[in-house]
Amino acid sequence: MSEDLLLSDAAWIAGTVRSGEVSARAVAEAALDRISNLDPTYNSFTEVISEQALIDADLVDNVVRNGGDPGPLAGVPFAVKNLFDIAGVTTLAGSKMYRENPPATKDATAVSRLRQAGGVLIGALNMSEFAYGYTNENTHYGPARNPHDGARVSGGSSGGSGAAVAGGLVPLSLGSDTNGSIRLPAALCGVFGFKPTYGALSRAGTALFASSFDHIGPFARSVQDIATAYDTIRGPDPTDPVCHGGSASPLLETLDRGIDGLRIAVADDYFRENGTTAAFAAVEKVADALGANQTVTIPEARRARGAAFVITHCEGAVQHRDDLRDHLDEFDPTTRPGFMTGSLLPGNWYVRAQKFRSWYRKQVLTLFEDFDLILAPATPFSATKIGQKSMTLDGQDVPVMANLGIYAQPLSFIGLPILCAPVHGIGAMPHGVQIIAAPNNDALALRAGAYLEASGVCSAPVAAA
Amino acid sequence: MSDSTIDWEAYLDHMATLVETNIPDEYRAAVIEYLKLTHTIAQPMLEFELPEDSEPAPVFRP
Repeated sequence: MSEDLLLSDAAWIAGTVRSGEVSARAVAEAALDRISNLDPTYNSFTEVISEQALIDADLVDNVVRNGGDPGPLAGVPFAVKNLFDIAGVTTLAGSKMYRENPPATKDATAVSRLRQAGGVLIGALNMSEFAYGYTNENTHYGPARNPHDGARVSGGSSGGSGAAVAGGLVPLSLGSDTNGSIRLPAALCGVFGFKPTYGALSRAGTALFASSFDHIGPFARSVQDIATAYDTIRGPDPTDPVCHGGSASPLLETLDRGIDGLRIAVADDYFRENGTTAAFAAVEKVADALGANQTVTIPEARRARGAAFVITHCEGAVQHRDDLRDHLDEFDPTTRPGFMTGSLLPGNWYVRAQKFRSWYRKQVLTLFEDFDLILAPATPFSATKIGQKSMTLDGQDVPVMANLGIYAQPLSFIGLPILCAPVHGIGAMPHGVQIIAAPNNDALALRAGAYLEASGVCSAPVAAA
Repeated sequence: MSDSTIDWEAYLDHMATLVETNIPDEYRAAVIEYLKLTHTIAQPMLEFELPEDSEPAPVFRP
C-alpha cells in the first residue's frame, strides 16, 4: 500500500479505516515502510515495534469486519517520546544508563487510552536525555533531524515527536513539555503541538523531569487531530497526583465556532525582544489573520524565566539524585552540568522561585480579564544547524541552548494551555506561534488554531522526502 | 551580588560536601560555568521584592 496514506491526517485515516475502505494493517504497513525508508535520515525513532503494531492493526480490522467501532483513532499509527512507558519496551528517557532496565510492564495512561481508541502504536521516539535540552542533540542516540532540512535540529526535548510527524512517519505523536519541550519542536518542525493546562492529561507512566512543570501533549498536522488526541486522553487518573482530568466536554465539539467574540492580543515587551525579524513576522501574520490589533505586557517575564530555571534544576537534580550518584559518567555531556548544578543550588532560591511563581500567576491571570488569548513567538529563531552553538541576534552572539526557550519558559511556568501553531513561508524554515489561553480554557486556543488552519495561515505539510 | 565577588570553587566544594555529592575534577569547570549561568538567569528573580504575604505556589492539602 502506498506510503501516501501517511500524508493524510489522523482524522482521514480513522475515517477510511472505520468505513472499511482501507485496512488498519495497510496503514500500519505503510507507516512501517515509510519509517524504514526515511528514518535512517531523520533518526526520530529509537524503537519500532513492528510485530505488535501489526497485531494491534489486525485487532482494529477485526472490529470493523464484525460491524463494530474501533474508536475515533481507528488504525491511526502513533508514536510516543521514549519517556512514556510502553508495555514490553524499556523506557529510556533518552538515557543510555536505562538501556539495561527491564521492559515496562504496562502502558502509560496516555498510551493506553490512545490504543483503546483504536490507535496503533508504532514505537518510541528520540528525545533529549531526561527531557533536558532544546535541540534534541542526544549524544547517545544521535540528533533527531529536522525533516525540512536534515542538517538542522528538530528542537527539544521532544524532537523525535516533532520530526516523526513533520516527516509523515506517523500523523500523531506524544511528547512532554516542562519548559517548552512540545512547543519548540512543533515550531522548528512546522507542525501543531499542544501543551494543555497543567494537570489536564495524565502523566502516569512517564519519566518525570521537574514535576511542578511537567505536562504531556500531542503533536499532529491538524488541529482536529490535536483535539481528538486530547479528548481521548483526558479524564481523571488517580495514579497521577496532579491530574485533574482536563476539560469536562470534548474540545473537538468547539473547533468550528470560529473567533467571533474572542479578544486576542499580542504579547509585547519581553516577547518582542531578542528574536529574529522572521520570528516576529510569523506572529504578525497570525495576529493579522485573527484581527488581533492590541498588545499586552506579560509582566516580569524575564524574572519568571529565572524562577522557572531554578525550580527546574532543583527538581530535576532530585529526580535524578541516584543517577548522579551512581552513573555520573554515563550522563549525556550536554545534560550533566545542568543536573549537577541543580543539586548544588540553595533551598532558599527554590522557595523564593515558588513564591515568585505564585505572585506571577496572579498578575498574568488578571490579563485574561481583558483578553481571551495572547499571541507570542514560540522561539526567537528557526531551527539552527546541528552542532551550532551560537546565534547572532541584534548584532550579538548568543548561545543557542540558553536562548531557544526564552519565550516558552515563562508560560509553562504557570501551567497555561498553549497551542503552538506552525507558520511556513517566512524564510526557509518554519516558525511557530504560541496561542496562549487562561488555565482550563484550552478550547479557545484550539478554536483559534482551527480558524488559522481553515484560513490557510497555519498548516503543517509533510516535509519533502 | 555579582559573579566576580563569589568564590565559585569554594561554593562548589562546600555544597558538594553538604549534599554528599562527588564532583570529579574533569566535570568541575563545566559545573562552575553552569552555576554562574544559573546565577545570572536567576538574579532578576532573586532581586525582586515580593509582597510579604506571598505564599509558595504549590499548596499541600492533607
